[in-house]
Amino acid sequence: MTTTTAETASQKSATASFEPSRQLVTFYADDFLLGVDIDYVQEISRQVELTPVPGAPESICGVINLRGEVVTVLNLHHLLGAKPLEPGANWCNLILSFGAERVGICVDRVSDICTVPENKIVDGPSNLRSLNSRYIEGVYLRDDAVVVILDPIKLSEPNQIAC
Amino acid sequence: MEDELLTDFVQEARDHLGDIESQLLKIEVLGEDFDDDLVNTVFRAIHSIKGAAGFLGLSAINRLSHSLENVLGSVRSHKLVPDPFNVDVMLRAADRLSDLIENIQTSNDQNVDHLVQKLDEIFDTTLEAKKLAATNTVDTLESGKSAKTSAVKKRPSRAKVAKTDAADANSVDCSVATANPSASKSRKRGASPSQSAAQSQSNEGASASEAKPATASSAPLDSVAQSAVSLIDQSESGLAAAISAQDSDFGKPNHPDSRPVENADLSAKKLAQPEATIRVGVRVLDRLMNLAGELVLSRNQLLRAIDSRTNDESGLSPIAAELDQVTTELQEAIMQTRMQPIGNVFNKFPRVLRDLSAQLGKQVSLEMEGNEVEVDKTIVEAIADPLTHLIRNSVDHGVESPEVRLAAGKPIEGVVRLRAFHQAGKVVIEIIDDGAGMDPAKLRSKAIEKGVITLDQASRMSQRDSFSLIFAPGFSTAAAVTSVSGRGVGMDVVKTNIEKLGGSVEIESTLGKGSTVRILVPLTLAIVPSMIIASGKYRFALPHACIVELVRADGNEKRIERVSGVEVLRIRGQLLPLVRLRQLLAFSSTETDETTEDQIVVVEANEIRFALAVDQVLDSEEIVVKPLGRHLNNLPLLAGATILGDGKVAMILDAVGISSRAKLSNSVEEIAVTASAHERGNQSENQRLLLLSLNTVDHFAVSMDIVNRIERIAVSDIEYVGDQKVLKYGDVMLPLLEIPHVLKCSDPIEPDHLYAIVYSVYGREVGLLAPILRDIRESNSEVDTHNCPEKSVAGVTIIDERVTRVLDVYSLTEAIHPNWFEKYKELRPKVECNRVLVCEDSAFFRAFLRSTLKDHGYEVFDAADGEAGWELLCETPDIHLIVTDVEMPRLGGFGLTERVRSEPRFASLPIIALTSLADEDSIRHGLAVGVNEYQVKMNKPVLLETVARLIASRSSK
Repeated sequence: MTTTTAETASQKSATASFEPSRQLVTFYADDFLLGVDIDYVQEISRQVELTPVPGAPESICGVINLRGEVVTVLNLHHLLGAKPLEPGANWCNLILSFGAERVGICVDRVSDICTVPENKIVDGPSNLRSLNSRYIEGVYLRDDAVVVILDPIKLSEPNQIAC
Repeated sequence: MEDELLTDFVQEARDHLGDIESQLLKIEVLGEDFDDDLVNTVFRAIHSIKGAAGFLGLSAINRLSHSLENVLGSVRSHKLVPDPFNVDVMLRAADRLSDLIENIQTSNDQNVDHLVQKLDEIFDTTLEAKKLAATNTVDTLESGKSAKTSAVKKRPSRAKVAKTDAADANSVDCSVATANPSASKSRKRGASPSQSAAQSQSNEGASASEAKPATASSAPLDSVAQSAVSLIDQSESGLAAAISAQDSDFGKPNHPDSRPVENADLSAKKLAQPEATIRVGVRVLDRLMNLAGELVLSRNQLLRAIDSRTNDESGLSPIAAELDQVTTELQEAIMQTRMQPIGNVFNKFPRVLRDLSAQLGKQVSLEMEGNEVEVDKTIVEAIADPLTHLIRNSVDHGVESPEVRLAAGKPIEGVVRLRAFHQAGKVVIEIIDDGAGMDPAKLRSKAIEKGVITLDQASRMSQRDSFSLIFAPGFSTAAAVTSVSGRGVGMDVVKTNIEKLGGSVEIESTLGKGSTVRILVPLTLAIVPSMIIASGKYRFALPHACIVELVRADGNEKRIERVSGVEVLRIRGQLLPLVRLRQLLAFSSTETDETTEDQIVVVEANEIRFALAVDQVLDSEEIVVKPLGRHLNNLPLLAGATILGDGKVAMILDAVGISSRAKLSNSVEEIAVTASAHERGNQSENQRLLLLSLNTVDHFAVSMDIVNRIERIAVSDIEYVGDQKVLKYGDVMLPLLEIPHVLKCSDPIEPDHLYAIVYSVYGREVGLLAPILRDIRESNSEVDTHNCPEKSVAGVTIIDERVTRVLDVYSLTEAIHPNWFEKYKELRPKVECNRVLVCEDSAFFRAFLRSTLKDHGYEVFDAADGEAGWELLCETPDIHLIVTDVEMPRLGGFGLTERVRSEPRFASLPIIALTSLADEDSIRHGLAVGVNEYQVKMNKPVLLETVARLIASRSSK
């Protein structure tokens, strides 16, 4: 379960000895290092041969067959307003799971899993104007890079996509 | 614990009440000669509900079922003859019970007083009536015991046994006739406080133990028990036990009866269970179904993988074949679990029909056939509402009132037949009534009135299309809106709902004989036989249900043509609009390599037929429908997705969506017509003539362009106003004209049915009577316009070796009704601006226009094409108006207009363009180049009016 940074702050003051942290799956899209809470990530699928869906909005890459289930794959690059995905060797689909429903997102490559202390996550930064802030939950400043943490729920809302 | 009991009770009560409606109706129909077994079944059902409800403290259900049971008890003992009145109350009680059971938690808060009172009244009357007769017995017999003995003594054999055995002859003889009321009474009076407890207890174990002491004396009764199997029931035994518990003093003489009761009960149970069943949740079945679907997919993949191994020595093939076989059977078996007899839906209709016919004061009986036909549960559920609607319609609109039926020489009682049967892998359901039928002409005029179709569409409508009009949104044929139907919503919903199931619906009707609505639904929804087609590098599934045929365009007989900028498929003389799948799906241009898309699938959706051009038709496969995620579930072109044998996803195309995306809705005919109109244009001289004959020698033709519609009318429908023949539509009258009134000809033949060719004169509709309609013909034969001495004849031509007079229907109308034209005579032009240039390539039309205009005071200059017209215009001073055809050799009407408009001196010269059938594109084009008005060629009154108006407005400037 995700918790907002505000809640975390209060939690932290209550239990000072225990530092709550989150695990993120990080990956690249365009040149951005992005992260999603590991709780939402079901698997990483190397099956990238998508079936396009005629008449679907641009924010959808297509569908894949995930063991008999037809899973919609979102066009993350389009949603975030980044440069279009360029097919490469490390290209893969991150399958996010929301209860009974699964949604995929197309990423350039998966980086790693990192544990992030909650208090290190800060609100949406102003220096990320190039990305659509609607889907950004927060930012974690790692030693070497900035990890932009995405809100998977907002990301998967169909009505948001229409915008 | 409590909840579990409640759930069990609800389940069980549903089972009990499930058939009660049909059973009660059957009892009603049989009346006095009702079937004892049937009444017993109902009685038993209600009794069980009553008992359990009492035990569970469901007081409302308990009270209601108790009163209902009393009434049923009187019926069972032949004290009460079932009639529509009391069965009605019983039905309502059963309905109410169902309601209460469905809302079990709140059932105790419900007020059932009214129904209980009604039931009790019925019950009391039976008591009153028999009271006198019963008094003696009631007095002499101790209530509880005698009630029990006599209650079961309905069969002579039983009575006899009882006689020889224990009870005294006297009481038995009396009780056969009379003791029952007292039995019921005793139940009501004595037993009630402890009743429910005693019963629920005694139903199973207690009664057995109570009954045991009697075993010894009852041995000879075994054979009786056998013969009376159907007669005896749980309730009886329960009651016996309850009573004997109360009146233990009288136990002995009575007990012999309770033993056979037990025996019979057991054997009855055995008989009633030919097959063991268990209750399985639908969710489990759905899951099984999904898993089976998965298995099918895996099997397909496996088979493909094995196929691709060239030299197979692993021995996998036979194993795979075995798996294949088992999977198929498994799938079928699981599918079977979801199948339900369609009778589950049908069974509610006797009631619907009964209530409805009573409400409408009609007499209608229902015949049902094919109750046992099985279809998927989802379909059974989904079909219920549309069917109900259609049946209500049949009773309300179809079957006439008794007086009307009598007058029409039909039996007073109408019949609605409901039939279900299998046909070609689908289930057909027919609703047939022997009512009034539908009049296609009335449907059409109604549709025009409601704005559902245009006059033009109506004139081209076939009978079958006319019937389909009732499915159009906002269409209702009932003259008055009744509470039953006629609100104009519903039939379109019926159609949509059936189509949602992948089904279709069609109507046949014969005026005066009745109508048949035929519904086709698939057996199941989960697995859809489909054709796999390819477009570019992707594959799609198209359900068989919507495919009419597969054709390959060969360039000859079946060829793709381009007409008015629209592609069409010409097949067997028919034109179908063509949709290119690739264009439709609009895949990015990089994928459009050179393929011809000459494989064509003829598809029908919503009764619209069109040709779908695809790259390849691959294979036929049974596909498992997979839902698309919520991001994609509203896409119009797709009905879902499936996974093919190789594991790739394929989209399932939705034919209805495609047709509406391609804007084909109802325009098929129009496209075809536009296409043929266009062809006419190309061949310039062609025009569409309606050929009619009065007899074997007099043949006429009317230009189709002015015909609003054609109606088939019965001679008996023709009425007279003065000496004028008219056809009435409600309040509106259509004057009918006859050719022999104006033209010389032999006597016309007199068939039962005539045709009225309906056209308009100054906004007034007129029908020209034609005994024989021959054809509608594209004619390019030469029309002799000089050799026609008769007025009202525009020319003479030869069609099919018959001399045919081409009618000028306006002159004909004027000859009969000169008064209609009088006020328009005033439109004559002033002499100083009456010069009209006519450009028309058809000699016939040119002559027609010339004489028409001349007759009305114009000076006419004519030319055979635009080029000649232009020359004439330049050399003739003071042309006040141009009337030009659109399609002409050398220079067409638009070209001429452009040229005229390019000269400032002609900038305000009015131009009227004439067309046969104006399609919107050409109208837009014409207006863009500077045409002032569009007119249909043969519509003389309107043309004259327009000419006069345009000249007047110009000269006034």
